[in-house]
Amino acid sequence: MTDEQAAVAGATETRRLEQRLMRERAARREAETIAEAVTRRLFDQQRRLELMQAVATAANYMDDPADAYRFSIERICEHTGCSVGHVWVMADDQPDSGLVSAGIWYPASSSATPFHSGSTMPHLIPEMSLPHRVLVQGRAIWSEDLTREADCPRARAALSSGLRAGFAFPVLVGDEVAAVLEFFQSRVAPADEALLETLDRMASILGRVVERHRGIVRLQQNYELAAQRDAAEQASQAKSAFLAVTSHEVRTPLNAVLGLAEALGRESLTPSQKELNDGILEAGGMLLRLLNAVLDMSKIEAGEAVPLLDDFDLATTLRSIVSIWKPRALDLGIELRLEVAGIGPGRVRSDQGRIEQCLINLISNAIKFTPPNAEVILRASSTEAGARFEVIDGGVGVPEIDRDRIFRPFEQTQAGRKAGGAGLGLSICVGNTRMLGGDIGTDRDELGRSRFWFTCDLLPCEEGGGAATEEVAVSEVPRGLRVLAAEDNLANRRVLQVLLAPAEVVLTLVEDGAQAVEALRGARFDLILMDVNMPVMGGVEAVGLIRADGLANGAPIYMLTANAFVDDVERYLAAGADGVVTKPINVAELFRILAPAPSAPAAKAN
Amino acid sequence: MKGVVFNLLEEAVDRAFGPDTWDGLIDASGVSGAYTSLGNYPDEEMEALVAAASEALALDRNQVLRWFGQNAIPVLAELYPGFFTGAVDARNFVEGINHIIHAEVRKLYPGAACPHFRLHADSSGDLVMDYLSTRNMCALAQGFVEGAGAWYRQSVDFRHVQCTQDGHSHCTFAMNWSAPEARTAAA
Repeated sequence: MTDEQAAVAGATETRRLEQRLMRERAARREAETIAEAVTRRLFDQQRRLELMQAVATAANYMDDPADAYRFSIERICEHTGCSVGHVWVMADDQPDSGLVSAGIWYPASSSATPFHSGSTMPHLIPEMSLPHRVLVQGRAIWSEDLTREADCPRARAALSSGLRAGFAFPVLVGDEVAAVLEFFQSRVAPADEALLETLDRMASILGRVVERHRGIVRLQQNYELAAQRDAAEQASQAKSAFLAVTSHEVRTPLNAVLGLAEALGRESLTPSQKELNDGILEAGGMLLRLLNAVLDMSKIEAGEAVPLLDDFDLATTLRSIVSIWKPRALDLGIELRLEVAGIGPGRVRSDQGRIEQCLINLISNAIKFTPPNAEVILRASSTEAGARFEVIDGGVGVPEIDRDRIFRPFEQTQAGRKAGGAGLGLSICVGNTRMLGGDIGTDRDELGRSRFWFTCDLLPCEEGGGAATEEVAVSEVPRGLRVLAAEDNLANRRVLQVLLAPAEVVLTLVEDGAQAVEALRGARFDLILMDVNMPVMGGVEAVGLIRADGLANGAPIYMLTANAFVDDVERYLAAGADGVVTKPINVAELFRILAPAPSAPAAKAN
Repeated sequence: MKGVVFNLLEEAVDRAFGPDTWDGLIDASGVSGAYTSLGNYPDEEMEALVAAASEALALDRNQVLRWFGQNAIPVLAELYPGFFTGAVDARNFVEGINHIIHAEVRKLYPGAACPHFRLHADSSGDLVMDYLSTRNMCALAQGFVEGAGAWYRQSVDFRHVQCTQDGHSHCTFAMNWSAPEARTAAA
């Protein structure tokens, strides 16, 4: 190889090495550029993660969304270099109620720019504004240059405050936008897609604060509602207790009135005196049943009511109701007529008090709404299961749209309010008829007259339909029976004395259970009558003691009570009583107990 | 295509034929020749380099790619020894291609378009591999498999059951390996 050839070869070699070097340097520069971009990207990612973590942490422990928003706009402004952050919320926290400024700004101190003051006016949020677009689209949106939105007054206000670019994102509860957070900076900036993605994830994280807050508010409301309900229940219980006490207090003298009237009836009276006395007994009995029904209504309301089934003569009941109401109707110039179809004399079994209560409610309503010189008709007819009662009045009737409503408690028509009343009567009737297997409603009869009707089941009479079994003549009662009666009420003690006098019993009267127990320790008796409610020791307790100590010596114990509810009777029998004598005391019932076996014991004693 | 593949090709060519040959391939193919493992380069540059090699060595494209695969494995083993030490033999290495090697590649080079291999053992115990890639570089895959066999000192029976180049929707390889010989020293 010549020198020249060697020089050429060397130059070629040098050129190759130079080219390799150039390639190496190009590759290195490229690698560095890539590595720097990756590092920057990682750094940005890291910062976005830190931002996200900070907001998520705050969202976890902050209960008030406003605190979480305030914290978030501060951190996002720091992260992005935005000079203004602001929060919009839905008016009243209701979806679709429109955005209003939450008054939350970053920085919190400055609030005097035209942009700030303009943002509190809702009319400055036109459809094309950034927050409104976020509200509609439910995702983060970037506005690169506000000058492009200069037709929007709010953008003009932003520009005049030195703001050029902005972005906003929603706070999402599911798909619902609960708030919009917006940010502005003084430089035009292209959309940062990675940031928008981060903000979109933040949307539901902040949404959970809203959700939690709503949950807390709901809990508080529920708590308040529960407190109100408890108060209402307490008031209702107080009302029921008041009713129970009052009606008991009324019933005690009423029992005395009835007992004395019954005794009076056994005296020799003139026909007109007897009629007056019968009127006292009739009206008093009705009053007593009404009292019991009132007590029972509180049980209906408490869901504890049971029908009080007894045997009675339906036709007689209807006639006595009409005879009592006829004079009152006549006073108002109204004729009250009774039409009975298919209901003959004889006894049926149902709850007489409840049926009477329904009839009286409907009749008194009918009289209220009937003009003078018109008539009210009470129609009763037998049905397959029992009876159907109709009260036809001369009033205008109930408009069709009100026909369901008036049967609910405290619901009245305009006319009903004018006529007075609490609006309870019909709802009591609803409770009664349902309990008796029937129904109730209002419509018009075949002549277009206003009509209220109800039905109820009637059961076959347990005593075989006859009334004779009750009659036990005083002569059948053996003379000289020793009777111990415990009764705290003086009037009732007098009633017992009067009623038992014809039977010539040896009556020992005591005033409470303790005295009764004492009397039994010292003497033997053939029958023990025990009032339930007495001071010192009540009847039930006394019966328990008598049974426990075997003090009765074979004498039957009968409870004297007006509380003839089924569960009460069961309680007395469980305590050891042999039966119940309901007040007002029916003489025949009393004599039946006094009469020796084989006389049938009182039905209620079974 | 990832820059690391170009780096592997350059290194394999350097080792087998010297740097001048690589220079020659770059001149002949008209590519820039500056490749960093972090970069991403057009597939066409690889095809141009393979075409130039094919010209220079009087081999067809598949033969060049297969040679490249075989000779890239020792270089790869030096750059990423972890890929190899984790697998007990060549078959184990090939079986880990999707979830170990390509998973690592994606960590280093986010967005890398790695081919996907569907793998299953057939009734005779052969490992059957479906190769799905838009690049049509099944010969390179074969070369890699053979190179890995050599690295583990195992002979491999590689059958190209079907090929996209014959109009099939994808390539299918069937492979089995001899028992590994005791390896005395790292390659």
